[in-house]
Amino acid sequence: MRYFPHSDRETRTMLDLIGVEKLDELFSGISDNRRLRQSVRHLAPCPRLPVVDGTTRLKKSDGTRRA
Amino acid sequence: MLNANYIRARLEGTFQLPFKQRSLHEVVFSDANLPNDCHTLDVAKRLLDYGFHPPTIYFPLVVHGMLMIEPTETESKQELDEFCAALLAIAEEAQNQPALLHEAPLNARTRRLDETLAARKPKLRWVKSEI
Repeated sequence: MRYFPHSDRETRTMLDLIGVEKLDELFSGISDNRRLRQSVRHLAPCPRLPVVDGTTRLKKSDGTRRA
Repeated sequence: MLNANYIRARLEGTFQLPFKQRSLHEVVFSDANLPNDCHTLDVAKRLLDYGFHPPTIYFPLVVHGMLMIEPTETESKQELDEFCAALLAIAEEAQNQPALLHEAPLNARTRRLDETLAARKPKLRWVKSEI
């Protein structure tokens, strides 16, 4: 999946300098799970903040931290 | 990952590379081979003169004088090349004009701040300047 702004020629230049033939070779050292997370991270929606309209009160923290 | 490895390939002959394996999303260098008593802080301050925000320095602590560069994948090759050119120029300055590094930043609005004082006695409230 392409997620960088380089042209094909620029990518080729960069890979040649790094010393790898294909982009996949760069990712070969990381696990499938990690690769999957990296490939979809930018697709994940941003967490939505609670809407406060003046009548809704945010729940106060009880001072404990969630795991 | 591509960008981090590209920066690594561009700079590894100039800055010492403490970890030889391929980079994941960041690349770290140390100041071990900088001459003339130039250190990571000097490089970071001099980068300001070249118009770049310095990367993370002195962290993590496992390597002395670490310079940790984490380029996002959205940076263009042109931007990466300019950043690398700035660091290569700074390395050359460390060799030939070390005073430029020791006194940097020279072109910023403020020179070196007392960061220890700022950490120990932080001013957390804005006060209108009398000047």
